[in-house]
Amino acid sequence: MSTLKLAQATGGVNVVALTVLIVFFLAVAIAGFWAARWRRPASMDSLEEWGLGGRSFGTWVTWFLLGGDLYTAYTFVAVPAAMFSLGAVSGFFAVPYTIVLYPIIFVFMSRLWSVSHRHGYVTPADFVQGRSGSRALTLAVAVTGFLATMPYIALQLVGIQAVLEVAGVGGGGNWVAKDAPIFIAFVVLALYTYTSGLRAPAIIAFVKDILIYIVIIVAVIYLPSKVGGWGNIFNAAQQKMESTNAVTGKATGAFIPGAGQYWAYATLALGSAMALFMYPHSVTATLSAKSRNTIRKNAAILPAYSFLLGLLALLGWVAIAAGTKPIGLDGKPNPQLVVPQLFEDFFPSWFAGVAFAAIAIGALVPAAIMSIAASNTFTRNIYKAWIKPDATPKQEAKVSKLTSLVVKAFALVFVLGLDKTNALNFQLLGGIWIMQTFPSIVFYLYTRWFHRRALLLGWAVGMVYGTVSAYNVVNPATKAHFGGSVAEIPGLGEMGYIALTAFVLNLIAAVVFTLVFRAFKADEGKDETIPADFFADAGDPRVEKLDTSGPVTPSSH
Amino acid sequence: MSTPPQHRDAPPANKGLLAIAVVCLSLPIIALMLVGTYAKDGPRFLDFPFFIWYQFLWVALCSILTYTAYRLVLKARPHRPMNPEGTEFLTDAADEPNGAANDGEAGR
Repeated sequence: MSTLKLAQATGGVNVVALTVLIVFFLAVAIAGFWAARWRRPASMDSLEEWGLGGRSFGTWVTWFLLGGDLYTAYTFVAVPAAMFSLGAVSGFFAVPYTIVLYPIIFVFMSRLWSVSHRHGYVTPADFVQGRSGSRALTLAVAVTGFLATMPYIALQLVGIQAVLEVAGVGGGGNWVAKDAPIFIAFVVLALYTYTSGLRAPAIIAFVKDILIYIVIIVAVIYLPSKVGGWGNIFNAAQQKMESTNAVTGKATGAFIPGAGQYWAYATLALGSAMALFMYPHSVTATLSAKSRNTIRKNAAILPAYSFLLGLLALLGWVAIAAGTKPIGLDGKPNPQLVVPQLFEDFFPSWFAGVAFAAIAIGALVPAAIMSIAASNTFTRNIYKAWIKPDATPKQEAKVSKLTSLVVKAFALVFVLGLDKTNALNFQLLGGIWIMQTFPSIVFYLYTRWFHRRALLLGWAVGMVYGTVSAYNVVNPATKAHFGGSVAEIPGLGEMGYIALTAFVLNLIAAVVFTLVFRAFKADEGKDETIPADFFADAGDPRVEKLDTSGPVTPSSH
Repeated sequence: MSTPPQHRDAPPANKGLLAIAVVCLSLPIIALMLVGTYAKDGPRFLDFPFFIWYQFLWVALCSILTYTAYRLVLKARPHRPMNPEGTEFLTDAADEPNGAANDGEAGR
């Protein structure tokens, strides 16, 4: 009953909305378990099937899957929240970010798809191993990918929590009322991911993406008329952003980036775009496509989601004009509740329920793919590489399935047990860290000029610099460390995204050390690929197709 | 000019078409990195500040340009199937003007 009492402060438990949400959740859970039968493989006992859906997804499945994977529930909650509280630089950069992203995918990911198809690579680290022959560099890439993904999974829970909190549950004093809904949601998710592998999020992504499109389109058509039109919305946003913040004494945020913020805006967009496809979960969704051209075609049609994200970002400003008060069940303001609260204030309960379902299901898809990707990385690049080199595909699949459960349990503990800001800090760090694997993955798609040990040293330089500078960013209001992802670029005097600055230092170190190692004629390692591999398509033979149980060995050429 | 290494390398491509594709793919990145060119309020379009609608416009342009690049790349470098051993790609005499671009066929 304590839940009910507390909930009354924010308008009570929204029974209708909650019912709609639960119905959708159940439907999706059934679909998730059924997915194991979808395009039923002969056997689910390999990473090819469990972890990559048999590399069989065509253009449309891939479109929904990648859309569901990249545009996460956390994005849907955090981007409008940033627009609402800090304005365009922190929020709207998501639009150029997800535009710049697609030319990058078009060029790099088709090559990665081809070489992975030929050699049976499942993770980015698999590719680095095959190309560099360096176990140390591979381990660095694998561990970075794993660590960067973990907080990302945890943050998906924040999306679900935001929805439940506005619907009036999840804020009670006792543990059962507070955490049970999230706990149940994640256990169900873990179970169908365990049985169906990547096929589960692929099916659920259809539901998620269609719901999101409907909700956002209805919202941007209907809501502005309720709050005096777009002109009024932009005026309200401008007024709020230009007003002075009582704590810091500076402007609240940016309505349109000022001259001193151009670098920050551009580097945030570019750096985030370069980093996104270094995450294992992006690579997993890419490699599950059935042909090289599936990826390229998708690069042309995925921007539809960027359009949607832009509209969603603007809902943060609609909420300013609407006077939305995002107050949590604990009575404190929480900007992350702004979009769910906006929906609850203006829509009939049943449609608010649909919107809540869109966000909550939106959390399940990326959480599933991320946990699969993290598990594949652990299995291939840590378990098989270091613990049991002769693991069969069946054992690999088993380890990966079990790891996916552990990963989700960890995410749950992370969010429920620790302060949410920990997850946020690690997510911020994760973006900086994953960027440091860019040289090892992308440069190797084109050239072996860089020495493998130089790439490892460059990675170390980027990691240390990125971590230290992120720590040194202090939030002006709370005085806490990890206060943001933007810091002064040394020698330039402009503010820029730390990940990109660290990447440049990483690159310089890699070049310098390559010249040093080359001068000493250090061992270059063995490359198992041939240049033609990077242009292979479906139907071209796989290198190890005759040997499915042994270690990855290149055919003699 | 020996046969095996050549067919292990990248399949032949029309460099001119590839260059145009690269331009198509670079335009959105360059345009959006120049924040100073669009960080302004006016002219407004249907009450939307220039800063907002201009970036929405680039979403559409990026999609069109990427699709153009896709068509160009397909034409510039048609796929060459590999031999069953997967050690090199096969020469397709049909779409190659008399095998001029790769003359490694003679001895095979």
